[in-house]
Amino acid sequence: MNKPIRRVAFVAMIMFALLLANGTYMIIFRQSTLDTQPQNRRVRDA
Amino acid sequence: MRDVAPVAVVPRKRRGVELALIIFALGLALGAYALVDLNVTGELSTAFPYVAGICSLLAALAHIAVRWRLPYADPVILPCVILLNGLGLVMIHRIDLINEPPLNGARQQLIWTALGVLMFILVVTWLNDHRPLQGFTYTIGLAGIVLLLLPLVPGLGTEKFGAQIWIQVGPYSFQPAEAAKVLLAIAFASYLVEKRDVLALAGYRVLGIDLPRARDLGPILVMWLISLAILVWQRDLGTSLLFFGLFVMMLYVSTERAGWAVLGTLLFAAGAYFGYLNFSHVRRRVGAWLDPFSDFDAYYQVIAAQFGMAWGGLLGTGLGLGRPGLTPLARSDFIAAAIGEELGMTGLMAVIMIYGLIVARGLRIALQCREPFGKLLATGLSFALALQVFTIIGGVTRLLPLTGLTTPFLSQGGSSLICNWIVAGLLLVISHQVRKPAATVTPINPDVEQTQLVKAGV
Repeated sequence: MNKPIRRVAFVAMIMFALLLANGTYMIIFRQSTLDTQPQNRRVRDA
Repeated sequence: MRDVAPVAVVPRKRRGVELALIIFALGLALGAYALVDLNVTGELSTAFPYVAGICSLLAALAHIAVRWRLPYADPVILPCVILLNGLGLVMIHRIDLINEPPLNGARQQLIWTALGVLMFILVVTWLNDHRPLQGFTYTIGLAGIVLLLLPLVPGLGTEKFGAQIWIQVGPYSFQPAEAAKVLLAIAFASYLVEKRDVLALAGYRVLGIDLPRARDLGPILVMWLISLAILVWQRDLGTSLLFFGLFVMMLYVSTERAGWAVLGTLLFAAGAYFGYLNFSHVRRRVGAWLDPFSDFDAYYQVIAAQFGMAWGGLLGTGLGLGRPGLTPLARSDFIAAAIGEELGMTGLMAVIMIYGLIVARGLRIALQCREPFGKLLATGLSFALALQVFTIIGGVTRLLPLTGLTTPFLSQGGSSLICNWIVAGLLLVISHQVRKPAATVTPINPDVEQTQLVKAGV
């Protein structure tokens, strides 16, 4: 059963890589627009 | 002929490494706890020595149980679990302090942690070997399915936040899906080990994929229907994805037929599309995922979490210095967003990597294991953890539509915490059985065992 387990491990690796990539994407591309939103109470009150 | 002594490979026990890692994990968690107090109130709370004492005692008890009963177990899983649980406690304590007067969520969570560690110690000392579980396939499986469907019983199940995945008995509420996850992983593993030869018989070959025979489709169709029932009546895409994904993956691993994985993915996609077309709550989740700013009020929670993580940025605001309280449910479903805000994306990624370490270790145990039941069980438990982390953290960071799964070990809630400690215990039990040296028997040499001849008549 080792071959399918390796494939499952590969799928798990892809899932974790997607989470990390999404975090990176969020900081690089979404952060600045989110921080300038008028509805953002954190930035508004700061 | 020269005698060759049999080479016995004895793996190192690594208990000292585990102890050092546990001390490191405790140091991180308790340091973070103190930091929250210092940043929010300017002084250590009077409860801090008790919290530190109880956490250290619990960690020491878990470690002693492993040292005593599972000396060859994997040394990395327990420290990772302690660190995650400790970080969860810290974040819940931090959110407690937002309210005036502070809430007691962290104290409650500490009690649940103690119960979780107790269950862990029971699994480690009393169960000690996973193989006897194979004798209770249908009992465990039936219990798992009943638990899974229990929230649908009128009067027992309660609806919280749009999903009916809770049961309420008196003042206590309980999320049975978490317990069902453990039970069904055990039941699937032992059922599939027994039936894999029948299921692996190829029926038809369509587009180069071996599909199973029609009569063997029974179990996968039953699980598909149960998952669909969860989606339709319990209104929870995450739970349904978790169970169906777990089952299909274990089917694939046990039969080694890629056809199952393809068929399962197609069936799930069909079910999810059906849900999207027919149920408004599924459409709302998808809407919040694709374009949250189209409706600020309806998608407030997802937007607030985004704002929090954006404000935290790469390195975070610092523990106790952000405003995680602006996100509804920050202590349970959205605890990953609270971590992303105060510890930054770096901190959130570190937490994701700790989950990754546990999953990697679990899959490694599965690869090393020599009997099919342990292999399949370790794969199932690790993959379920990976899938759960992917679904909920992906939901919070807008990689996927949001679902009602709990963040393992982090989010507030007893049922989830206790069940995940049991999962950790099971993984350690399997790893000990895998790594412990096989009992050796001294080979009998017939030449040495000569019969004595005694001369007659002396």
